[in-house]
Formats: sequence, C-alpha cells, structure tokens
Amino acid sequence: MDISEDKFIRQINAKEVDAFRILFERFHNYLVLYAMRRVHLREVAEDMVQEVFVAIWESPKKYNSFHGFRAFLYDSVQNRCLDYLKHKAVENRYVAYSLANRDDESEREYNLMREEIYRELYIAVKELPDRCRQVFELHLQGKKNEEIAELLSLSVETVKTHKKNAVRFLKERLGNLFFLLVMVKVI
Amino acid sequence: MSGALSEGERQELELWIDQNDGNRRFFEDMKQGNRFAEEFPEFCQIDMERGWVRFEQHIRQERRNSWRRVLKYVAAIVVPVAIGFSIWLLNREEKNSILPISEMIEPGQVKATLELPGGKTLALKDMKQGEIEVDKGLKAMQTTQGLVYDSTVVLNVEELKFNTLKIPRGGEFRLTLADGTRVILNSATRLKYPVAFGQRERKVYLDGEAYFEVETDTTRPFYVVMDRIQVRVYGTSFNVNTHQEKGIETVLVEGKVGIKTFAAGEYVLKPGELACFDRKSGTVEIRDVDARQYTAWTRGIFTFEEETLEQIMATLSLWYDVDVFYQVEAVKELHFSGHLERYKEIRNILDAITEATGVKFSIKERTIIVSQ
Repeated sequence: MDISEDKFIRQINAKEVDAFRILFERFHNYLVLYAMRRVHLREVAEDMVQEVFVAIWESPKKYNSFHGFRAFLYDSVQNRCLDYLKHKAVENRYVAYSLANRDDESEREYNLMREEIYRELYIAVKELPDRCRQVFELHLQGKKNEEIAELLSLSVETVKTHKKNAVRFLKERLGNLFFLLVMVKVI
Repeated sequence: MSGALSEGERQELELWIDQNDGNRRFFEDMKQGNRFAEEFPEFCQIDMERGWVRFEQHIRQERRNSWRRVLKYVAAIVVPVAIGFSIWLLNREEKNSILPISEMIEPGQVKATLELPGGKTLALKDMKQGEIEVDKGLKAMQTTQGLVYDSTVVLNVEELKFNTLKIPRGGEFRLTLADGTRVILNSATRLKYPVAFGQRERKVYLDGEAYFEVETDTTRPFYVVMDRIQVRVYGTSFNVNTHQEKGIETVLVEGKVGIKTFAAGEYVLKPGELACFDRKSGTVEIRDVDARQYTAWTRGIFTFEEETLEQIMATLSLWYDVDVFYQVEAVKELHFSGHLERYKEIRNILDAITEATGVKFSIKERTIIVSQ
C-alpha cells in the first residue's frame, strides 16, 4: 500500500473519498470473489460488497487499526452471505459450519491470515502487464511454452521472456510468499 | 516455473513455517488443491470500476442531500496489533514501492495542469474530486468525467476570462466547457478557453490533439482556433490534430464544420471527410476517411492504417512519454497497420509490430531503440 496503514484508517474514519478509492482498489475484487465462494452468483456478490462499503461510508463507527478494519470487512461480507443463504433457506453445510465457528477467535484469526495472503497474491498477479499475465495464466493451466506460443501467436522466445518477467515481478511483490508458492507448486 | 528454490530461500521459508501453527497450517492448506488456478480467471472478470462508479454516485447523491458530515478528523486511537504474520506482510509491502521491471513502460494517465486568469496553476489528477475556483467566484467541478464548468453562467460583459489546460506527454484529460461542449484532450496538448462564453460566439484555442462534441447553439457559433487555421462549427463532433507531420488534420464524425485558413476562403467538411492543412504550401486537401479510426484514441485504441513506422513511433512517444532512437534509418519507412490497445504497457504494442515487420525494439530507461 502506498500510504501507511494508520493514515489509511484515519482517512477511512474521516470519510475521505480518496481512501475509499484505495479501499476499492485493494479489496473490492477480492471481497467479491470471497462472497462468490459462498453465494456463487457474481451479481449477488457484487451487491453485497457494495452494501458493505456503503455501510462503512454511512456509519459513524471508527476503526482503531488496519488489522481490525480488515477483519471487519471479511466478517461483514461473510455475515451478509450467511443472511442471504439463510434467507434463501439453503440447507447447506457451509452455513452450519460457519455458524458453529464464527465465535472461535483463533479460527477467525487464521481465516483472516489465509484470505489476506490470497488477496495479496491475486492482486499481484492481476497487476502483471497484460501479455505477461496471459502467458502466466496459460502456464498455470499447465500449458507448455510451445503451446502458449501457439495460442498467443508469439515466439517461444517471447513466451520465455514474459515468464521470466512474471517471475521477477512476483518475487519482488510477494517476497517469502513467492517461495512458498513455488514450493507447494501453485506457481 | 522459476526452477527450484535456492538453499537460502528454502531455509528462510522453513523458518517461517516453523514460526507458528498458523503458518504451518497455511502451508498444508496450500498443498491441497489449487484454489488459485481455479479461481483466478473468475477474479479477473470482476469489474472494480463498475463498483466504484456505483459507489461514487451513491455518495455524491448523499453529500448533496445532507450537511451532517461535519465531524471530521476525529483522532483515531491506534492500537498496534502484532501477530507474527502481519509483520511479515508489512516487510513485504515495503518492497512493493520499488518499480520491479526496469523495462516496463506504462501508458499515459489522466493528468493536466490548469492555468487560472491570475497566472496561478493547479495540478489536476485522476480521482481527485471536488470544486475548483476557476475565476473569482466561479467554480468548476472535478468529477470522474473530467473537469466540468458551470453551464448556468452566460456573461453579459464581453470581457472574457480564460483558463488554459496543458496536458503533458503521457497524459490525457476530459473537459466539459461552460456551454456543455465535451472535449477529450490527448497528450502534449494545450487548450485555452473562457471560463464562461460571451453572448456572440464561442471560441477556443488549440495546440495538439482533441476530440470535440460541440453543443448546438445557433446563436453562438463555436470556433477552434489553431496556429494557422480555424474551424467553425455548426454543432457536431470532430477530431483535430496539429501534431501530424503532414499538416493540421480535421476529421468530421457528424454534423458540419468549416475550415478557414488565413489566406483563403472556407472549406466545408462533410461527415467522414478529412481536411489536411499543409503548413508549407498553405493549402487544404480534403479526402474521405473512416472517421472512427481518427477518434479511436478516445475509446482506448490506437489504429494505424498503412502508417510509416516513424509516424507510429511519434504517436507512441507522446502517449508513453518516451524518446525514440533509430539505429537504422531505413526502418522509418516501413509500413504497418493494426488496432492496438492504448491502456496497455508499451511492450504489447512493440511486440505486435515486431511480429508483423521483424523490426526489433529494445528499451533503455525511457528511450526506445529501433533496430533491424
């Protein structure tokens, strides 16, 4: 983040529009995805995230820390999803599981950490230059250099260059996490 | 894809995993299944800008309706919450500010400087919103659609006050003039215009490239004045470009415009026609073109139709704010056609040209070196 976290929270508390723009840039897409894992419909998920952000804008509530604010974001989206699913009377293992675990502090802490790591990863990959990202996505799907070159009408050399750039970019952005991803073969 | 980890990297990672149960659990979680590869295409489909526009409309409505948000800047109590992980995250985030790949050249952005009647200048950027005092007692709104002037003001006195917008290389900007005319300004462009128009005519002064959608007003003709010619508008949309080597180009999309040179009479353009004013001979040549091509830049696309590499690189250098150096002069004359995206990193465009023509590009800081 290009502004310090404390400053960001102060600006959110002061309802500064610029801070809400950053909120969108850093969290919107990932929270929509997070909601989609639960409600499966993109429109519904987008509405929920929108409602959460509007509620933050309208509420006089002040946040003490970036960490607390982050937890609040995930919780709010999660609660809306649960309400939605309950409302739709969906009998669903997820609802039961989530309701049973929602008060477990260490569980919540772990979930937050996991989501935040994934969020960082998604944002970093999304920020790759377009061609580079296309190459990288095809690589994730298990395609070989020659196939990628064929699909994107690039030379194999260019594909390799894009891959090299992607690795350099992600290493810079993700640090340790990058090594972790390589080790568990996500990348 | 990056091969194996080095011994040092592996050790660092193992240290992290052993740090606490959460880290270990995360490591185990990640080994199971591949959420990332499955979800990422979906993630890319989510449209942040659409959400933002919705949000912005909502809050602007609310701001207009209420005065209650006076309580600002209540000092927040900062409680540092330290778990091992958040420190780890922070360490990483510090690295983020370094630009990772030196050869990456990003496209231009929304930016401009605004010069006010007193000579004072303001820097305008994307996303900044609010009111700007453009002259004594007169305000313009900065919105996501650019700078918007107050349309309710018509001057009785014929003493006009001017603002000048300067768009640097690597910039673009949108503007709505006091009569409701919309203008999109391209890189390296300057537009001078009155903050409110007079009763008899509407006149603006242009150097560079701009696309105009002029609000119809039969009582007050609209003029775009350039160094050697002026365009008289009868309510219409068109593109003007003084950057071209060949001359000043005016392309009419719809409506009717007249091109007046200082020497000769007026040439009237029909939609789909291009008028090119030759600076040397002082003559105007009119020909049929696909007008959409000339306004494609306003929709985020570069269109090149049998243009020389030299012309193409000149266009790119303004938008990406780069210099171009030719190792081989002959390549300047190569021709290329293509539709390429304007909001992409420059590499994408150069790669496409390389594929079609075989010309090679290398990037050193902000200079592009062209070779065979």
